[in-house]
Amino acid sequence: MSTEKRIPIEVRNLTFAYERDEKSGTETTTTAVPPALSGIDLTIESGTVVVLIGPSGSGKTTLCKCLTGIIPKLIKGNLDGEVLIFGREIAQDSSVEISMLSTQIGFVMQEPDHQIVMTTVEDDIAFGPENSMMPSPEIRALVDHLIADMGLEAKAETNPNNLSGGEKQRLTVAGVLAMEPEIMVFDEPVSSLDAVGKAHFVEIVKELKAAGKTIIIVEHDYEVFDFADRWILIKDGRVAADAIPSAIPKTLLERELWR
Amino acid sequence: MNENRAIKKGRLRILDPRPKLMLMASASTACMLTSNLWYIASILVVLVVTLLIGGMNLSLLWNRAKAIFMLIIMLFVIQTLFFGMGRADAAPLLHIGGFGFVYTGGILLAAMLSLRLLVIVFAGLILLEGEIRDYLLALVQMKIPYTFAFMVVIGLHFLPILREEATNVYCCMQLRGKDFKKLKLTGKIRAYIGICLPILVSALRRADEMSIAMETRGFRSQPRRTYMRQLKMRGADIALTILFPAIFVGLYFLVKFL
Ligand SMILES: Nc1ncnc2c1ncn2[C@@H]1O[C@H](COP(=O)(O)OP(=O)(O)O)[C@@H](O)[C@H]1O
Ligand SMILES: [Mg+2]
Repeated sequence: MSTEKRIPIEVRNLTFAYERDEKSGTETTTTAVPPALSGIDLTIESGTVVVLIGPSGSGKTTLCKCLTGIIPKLIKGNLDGEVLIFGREIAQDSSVEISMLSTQIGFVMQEPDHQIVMTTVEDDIAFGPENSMMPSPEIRALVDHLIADMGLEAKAETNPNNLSGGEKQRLTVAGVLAMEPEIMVFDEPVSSLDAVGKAHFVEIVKELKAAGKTIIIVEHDYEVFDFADRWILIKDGRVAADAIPSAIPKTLLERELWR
Repeated sequence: MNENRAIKKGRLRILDPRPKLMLMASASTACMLTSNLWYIASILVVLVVTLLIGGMNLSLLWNRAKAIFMLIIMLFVIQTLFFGMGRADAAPLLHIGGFGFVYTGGILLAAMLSLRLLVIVFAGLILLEGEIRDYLLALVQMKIPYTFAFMVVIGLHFLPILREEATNVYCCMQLRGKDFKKLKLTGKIRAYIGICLPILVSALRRADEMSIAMETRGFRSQPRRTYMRQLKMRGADIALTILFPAIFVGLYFLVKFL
């Protein structure tokens, strides 16, 4: 590895439009879908906490999926521009596989229920490392460590269906952290949590930052993350504002989010 | 597998999953291979005895399988009543208004089918006394391809979630003033479609996102995978895995020569 500082994320002129799969009879109508992202440029430095803010439908989730390679590897569409993770282009290069990315960038999706795979808490955390053929004793140690970190000790053998919202979310975070990625992306992590859950999540983010991880958080409830290094406002698939939290006028955010 | 376990820490629950899988497989195969009523009944006895020795409480057992038992009784009655109707070569046991009902052949066939169904139900009840996670490990350690084993396990995992969603939609409809008890049959059918459609849509979406989530966590990136836990067969587990099929073979010859 070179001595220069590796840049976790660089996005260059990224434009993406979902394919509309309309099957009207035999003719295939290729109706032009308005792009969900247009001309995004973004550089995110190592160890920073970045919050993406924007009204519903502005393209935040789509951007997360581009950063994690889900678009275009698993969800197809018309993509232009480049996404670089630690200097390696992932969007245009078809030799990059999604499983290779999972040890670099982890994605905690919005719905915990949609990403909990196994029938007990400890098995679900072990799912990723098992897939990458980690030896059993090492998985055990890693899982016990993550269970303690997320405060799930009493729930190790519980069925995830019986966890509270906050516990489910911490389980999904643990499941993604088990892949030991350097970048973590969270899609609306606190919007469905109560005050206690929010506070707990903020603690987790601060610990991850202290551990040197780069963190991206999509959230309406941006004021919870006033300690972030940057707030980025996304509007109609474009970056509308990008600054330290104190430099973005609250009135602007409120107008954009609640119009 | 769910909260109201019939056996808290009973013998069946401690048992390795492999003897239970073997019991399920050998019992259901054996009851399909022959139509001898005594033989199928004896398989059923073995299963019930296993459940009782395993510590199953009879009233809990009844609660669990009540609906299925009722269904089996209903099927039995319908089978006996109408099987063989209008056939010239058999004499009906019952005459109502010039029509013949209930034939000896019908009773025998109905008894056989009901017994077979009961065997499958009881074998299923034995399987229920175990954790899904252990069956996954058992299947994999039996050299079943892991993608297949996961398919089965995730399917089982989703059933309670689907049921919960169904109850939610049902409650929502009642809150909006739909009284299911007052609906006529067509209205009932329409209402149930109204319950099933949203569940289907959300299940499809969930399956979609789930497959993406699994791939981002490296599922199927390697031809093999490792496992945090390992199942170990103790002496009793090995003995039972051999004993169960041996009992059914023994019973077969016993019934045959008696
Ligand atoms: N799978 C999809 N197929 C087609 N269009 C989609 C899909 N997902 C999102 N979109 C569309 O892309 C736009 C951006 O959506 P999204 O990124 O989910 O916004 P946000 O997360 O900011 O609410 C929306 O107009 C949405 O309708
Ligand atoms: Mg979103």
